[in-house]
Amino acid sequence: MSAPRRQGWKVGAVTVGVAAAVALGWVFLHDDAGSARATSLASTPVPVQAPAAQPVATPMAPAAPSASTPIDVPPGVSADQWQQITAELSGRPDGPAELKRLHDYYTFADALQRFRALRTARPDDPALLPLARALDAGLSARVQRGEVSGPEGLLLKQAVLQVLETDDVQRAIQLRQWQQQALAVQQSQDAAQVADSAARDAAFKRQQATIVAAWQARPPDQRDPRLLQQQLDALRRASYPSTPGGR
Amino acid sequence: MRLRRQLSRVFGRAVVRAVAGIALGVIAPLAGAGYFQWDMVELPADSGAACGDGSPYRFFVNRTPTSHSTVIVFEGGGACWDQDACLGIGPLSAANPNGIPPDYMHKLTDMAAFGLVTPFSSRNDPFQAVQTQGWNIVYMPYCTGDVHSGNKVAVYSDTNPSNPRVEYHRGAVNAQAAANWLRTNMGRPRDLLLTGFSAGGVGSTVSYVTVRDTLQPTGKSSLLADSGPLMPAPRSGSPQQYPSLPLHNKIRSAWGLDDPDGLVTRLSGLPGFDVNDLGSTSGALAQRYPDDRFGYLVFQADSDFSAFSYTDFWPDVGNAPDPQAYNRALFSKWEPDINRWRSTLEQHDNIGYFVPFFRNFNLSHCLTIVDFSGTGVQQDNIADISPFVDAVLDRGTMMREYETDHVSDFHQTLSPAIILFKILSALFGIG
Repeated sequence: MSAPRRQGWKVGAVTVGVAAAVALGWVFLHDDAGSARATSLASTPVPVQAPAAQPVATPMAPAAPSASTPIDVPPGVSADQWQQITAELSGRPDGPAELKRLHDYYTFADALQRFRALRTARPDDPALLPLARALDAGLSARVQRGEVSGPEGLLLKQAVLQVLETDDVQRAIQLRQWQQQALAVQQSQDAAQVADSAARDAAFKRQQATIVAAWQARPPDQRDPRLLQQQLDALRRASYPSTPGGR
Repeated sequence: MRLRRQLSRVFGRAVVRAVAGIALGVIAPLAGAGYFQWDMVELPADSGAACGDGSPYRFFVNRTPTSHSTVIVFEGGGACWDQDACLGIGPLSAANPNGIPPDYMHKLTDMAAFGLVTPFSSRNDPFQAVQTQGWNIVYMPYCTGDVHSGNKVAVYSDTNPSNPRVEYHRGAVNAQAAANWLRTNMGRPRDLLLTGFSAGGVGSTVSYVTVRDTLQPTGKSSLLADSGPLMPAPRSGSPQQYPSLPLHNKIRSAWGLDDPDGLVTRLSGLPGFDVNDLGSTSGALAQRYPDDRFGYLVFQADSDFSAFSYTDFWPDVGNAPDPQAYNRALFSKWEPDINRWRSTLEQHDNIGYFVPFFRNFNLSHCLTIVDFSGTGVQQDNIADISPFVDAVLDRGTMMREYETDHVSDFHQTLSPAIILFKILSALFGIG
């Protein structure tokens, strides 16, 4: 039942990967200079070299959405589907920007699919290089927009670095830098919500402790678990009320 | 992720959007939510949903405008029936003892396997493709220590009476509340897949009725339960006959499974479900939903789920003098349990199973975490579980694979994703 964050994993880590992990992990853990560089890059996107031979419809670094029209049918959706999406978004104030974002996302997703297929079929194919560059270019922005989760982003970064960087140590350093940069930006975006959540939890737990202490102070034969549960549920409802309007 | 959704206040708007969406042939949008963006849903306290520490239960949704199908992934991560394990202390303890923070999907330190789970929960997996990556994706984190099955508030004070742990074993309540939210806000899916790994493998199995009946998919509905087998263990038998019986008896009490609103009570109406045998659940699901498909995965050499099943209950396992004796005792119970479990599954045409021998990763625990590499059955020229997954989803002939070759698995190579996992293990440590 244990997810792989438990002690048991230590026993299971074996052979090839262990050596690589230890070596690369050491690099990660000791790359303070790299950390500083990563921090300084947090708000400065790394310039992306144009691929030498760029495949059709590779995604570029996503620009800030604007209301201007892109807006041909992106790869991965039919003309009918795109028309429906366009119609759906047309009534929203952010519709044009959202449509542009979706167009960009579909282009990215298509490139990812081609990258994955090519990497599996012909891992040495030079066409992987421009695809990897293009995927890499927009990755941090996609994590910041929530299109790619943090772990997904790290996996993607690992995948493109395997193509873009042949040196194991350099690859590890770049992976570490990206991870620190992307997650630091994300943490700053999430900070207010996380702090609000933590404050609510702390207040709840203080009051819960008082209720439980009072319950425990009773003689054992007077400790009614149903009564305790009722009290705790009432406290939870007061601590975590439904919010009008939802999101 | 940026915004909080609540269960009870959006029903009217959602219906209007759903109707409009159906007319357009695309799924109705939710205010503020973007397609292909991970969005957090926080269930309100009045739904009864909670994490183990009493904090709100949060789950995550990633929608697409071009598919009405939905995959729901139940996270794994230990279990608990005492104070330390519920506080996350110890090698087999419960995950997320402090709840699910709003930024759960952004971090590398909280999610199972650093978030590298699973190809079913990743829309943008560069290494492993599965067809559900084009569906709506729902990720159900695990924070209740009850394999998503409980409905009981417990006070554990066995190790520190002065500072007891109140544990909200509300996994089953969370599943119901989340299903209600999904139905209200996203409507009926076309196809539906419930999947999960480890504790989530059990969770997806025991939640199947709740979620399926609430969502009422218009197309195909399937289960892919990874490494959470519910072993046959009738209470009329003895522990010697059924080694998982002590575990089942323990959790029935600890998690309120037999209470009026408990899991066993709710499943009691299923044809073929024996209230005295949790292991009858899989067969009962197959009978209740004959057109659905049920796929079960586990490794023969799984040293993790087996440890949960026996260590606390069998002295020859828990007090084994050395690793060799431990393994002998452990697998003397696990192996017959697996074989008996397979026999019960084989009684139903709509059930398949995939039981390779060994994976050089995570104590051979879980086939779907990180990726599918190392899950092949070489004797039958099957590279990994992909054809099994497709057979479950596409209504192909159900596969029943049991690997008798116990040599080839030791020569399988590690995938780049698993190597990344090991890097992260070195970075952040484990345990």
